[in-house]
Amino acid sequence: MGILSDLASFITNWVTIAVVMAALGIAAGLLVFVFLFPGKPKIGVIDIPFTVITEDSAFVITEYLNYARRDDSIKAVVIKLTSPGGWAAASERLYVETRKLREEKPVVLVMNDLVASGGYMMSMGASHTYAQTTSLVGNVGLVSFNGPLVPPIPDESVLSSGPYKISGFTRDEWISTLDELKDSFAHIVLSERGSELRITEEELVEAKVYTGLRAVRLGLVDELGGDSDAFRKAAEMAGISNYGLVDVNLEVLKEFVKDFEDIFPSADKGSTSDAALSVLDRRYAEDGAAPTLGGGETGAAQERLDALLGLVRYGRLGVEQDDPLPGFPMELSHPNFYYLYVGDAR
Amino acid sequence: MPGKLAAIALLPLLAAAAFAVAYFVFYRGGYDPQPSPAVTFDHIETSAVPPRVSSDPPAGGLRQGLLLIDAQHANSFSERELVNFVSRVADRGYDVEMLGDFTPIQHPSQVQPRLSQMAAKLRQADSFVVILPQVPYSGTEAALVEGFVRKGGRLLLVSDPGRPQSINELAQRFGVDFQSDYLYNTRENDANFKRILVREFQPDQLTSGLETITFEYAGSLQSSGEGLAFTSANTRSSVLESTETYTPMAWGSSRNVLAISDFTFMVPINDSLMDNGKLVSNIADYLTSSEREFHLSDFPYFYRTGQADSVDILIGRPDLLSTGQQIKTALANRRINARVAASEDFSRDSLFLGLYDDAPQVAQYLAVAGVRIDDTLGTASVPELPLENSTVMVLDQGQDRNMLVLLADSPASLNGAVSRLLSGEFRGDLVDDFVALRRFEEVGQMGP
Repeated sequence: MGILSDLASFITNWVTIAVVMAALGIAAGLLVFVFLFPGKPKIGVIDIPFTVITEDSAFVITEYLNYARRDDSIKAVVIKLTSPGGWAAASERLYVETRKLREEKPVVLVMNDLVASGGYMMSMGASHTYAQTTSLVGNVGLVSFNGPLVPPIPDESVLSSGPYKISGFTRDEWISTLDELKDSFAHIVLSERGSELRITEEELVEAKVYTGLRAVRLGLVDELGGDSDAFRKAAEMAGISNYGLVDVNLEVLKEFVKDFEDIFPSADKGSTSDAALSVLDRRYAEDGAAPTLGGGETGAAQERLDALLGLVRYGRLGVEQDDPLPGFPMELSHPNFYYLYVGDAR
Repeated sequence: MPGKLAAIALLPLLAAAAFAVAYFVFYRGGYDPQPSPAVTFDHIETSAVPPRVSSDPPAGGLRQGLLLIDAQHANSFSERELVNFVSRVADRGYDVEMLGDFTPIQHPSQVQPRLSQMAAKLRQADSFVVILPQVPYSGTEAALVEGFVRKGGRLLLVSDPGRPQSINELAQRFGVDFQSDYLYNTRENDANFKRILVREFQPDQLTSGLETITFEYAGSLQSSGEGLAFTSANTRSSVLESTETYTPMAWGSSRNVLAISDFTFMVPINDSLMDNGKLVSNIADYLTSSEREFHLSDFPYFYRTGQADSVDILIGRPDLLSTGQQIKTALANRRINARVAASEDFSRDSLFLGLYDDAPQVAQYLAVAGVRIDDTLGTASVPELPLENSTVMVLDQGQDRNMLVLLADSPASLNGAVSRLLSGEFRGDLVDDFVALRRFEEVGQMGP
């Protein structure tokens, strides 16, 4: 009894209560901070190695940007970019999405080997840009292809309701459109870079590629620097320190895998992928144009994975003309305005 | 009791303190996004100029002649691209023919036939157009074109940096060197930096009525002749990268050679942009006002083709009537209509057939050509040729007509001469531009 009495006396002693309450208070404060609000700050890292911007790659990159926006623990974003640009509309979409992200969180973009044309347009959406002295930057303009000077003889078996129903443009209008898009690209750069720019519009639309060193001097890029500078700058702009890093690419891939398993539920992971492959096998078998999906080589596995990504993630069914338009006698042309740096292959 | 209450109050206090400490460890402030600059595109305008339909009255009325267009050298254009240009030439009365079928020589055995074809066609042509040959002209071919230009034939050389070509082998013979560049202007252009505007012209019939023309892909050229069109001073060359005035259109070594370093301006519908159509018309006027000289070697094309009864065939004696008919048939095969006439009409092109005894009937033409027929046959360069088994041909172009005289010592020799005339072998007998002499060593050489 004496021991119990002593213990009760100890617990009810106000000093003991004070110590316990203090420990609980500290723990509660930290728990709230870490798990409820605002949590340990993180910088999201989006790595875009050499990527030609297409409908597909822009979709994936947009997913990265969306994830970084959705995740409240990510207080700033660092994008590591190498891209010669690509399709015009897709490039512009990435600029718009990056700019939207910038309006919520600081976005610091590191230009690696090459950030040209559509890639450079995307970088205009960032809050701050870094390039290395040897980076190649710029190439503000676009490339397109035009038909022959004299249009081909029309096919008498094809009926259309207007003179430009099929082509959509006269040759001259197409050239003018190219000029308009060049001006709009230049205007984005002029607006985004503002007074930083020390190059005239006329020089800008000559579409030269500059080294990072020159690009900084011309005001096309904010500073020379690399990843560590970008993290420091991102943390500074977000007002955080002691931050953690989030590999956004990996997180998006994890989401994909989760979605994948939701679509093909199975207790056994091995049979999950088997089930997915069998679906794909059946689809290819119906088309009669499928590679055999049972192969074990790395290339074939990658091909299967790519096909699954397309099938599951993007719903890219019927990408070939014959799927949605069986027997249509004319070949459809894809959009052919490119914010793309081609380069002088030497 | 108050102590216990105070101890319990420590929980929220220290919780808040821990939170605050943690917050200040990890957060030093907040992100203050700057407002994004507005990006509007209202000021961007379409700069395309609507097509302009130019009136096309021929400058000098209808003329007769032949414009030949080279297609023997795998040329980088299609006939459809030339349709408006050809129609403008045809509107001025000229015939237009393609030389070749755009295929390059596949085998060495084709070289000589092609060369012969070119020589034959150039004998007939008044003007010659060479556009973007991919196969370079050989020395022999270029010499044929030089001979054509020397006789006053007009030559249009067209290059274009946007298409494969190898024209300088020919152009350099006429003092023209197309540069391996393209011209561009980022300040003043027709919707694209490569579509340069040309507004400065040397006053000339070729540039009359031109205010602004646009070349879609022009290069510069160097020429020994005078420049005709000049770019503005802020135009750049892709090779030199310096701003200066370049010349995309110029005369060659003579006014019978015109060089243009852009092909696109004459192609529909570029030929309807700005004053391009007027330039095409001016070029058509230029090419159809050739004053080409035709020599004896050009037989039979000093006679005009396609006209009714354009040539009178005169015979010195009745027994040569069948020879005259033979020539009439041969000329008809070359689209030259002839008739056998009883007497000479000094307003018409003619051909005289006779033996040396008939020479007094054409003495005036022989005298002008310096041909003497007495005991021997002679000219200034061939003083003594025995009359036996000999023939002489003389082309007289006085009085704005062509008179071809064929004389021989006998009907057999005359038949031989006609045979050589119709086969073209007579060109080996020429002693100058207007006289040919031949002496057959054996009767068998005289032909049928």
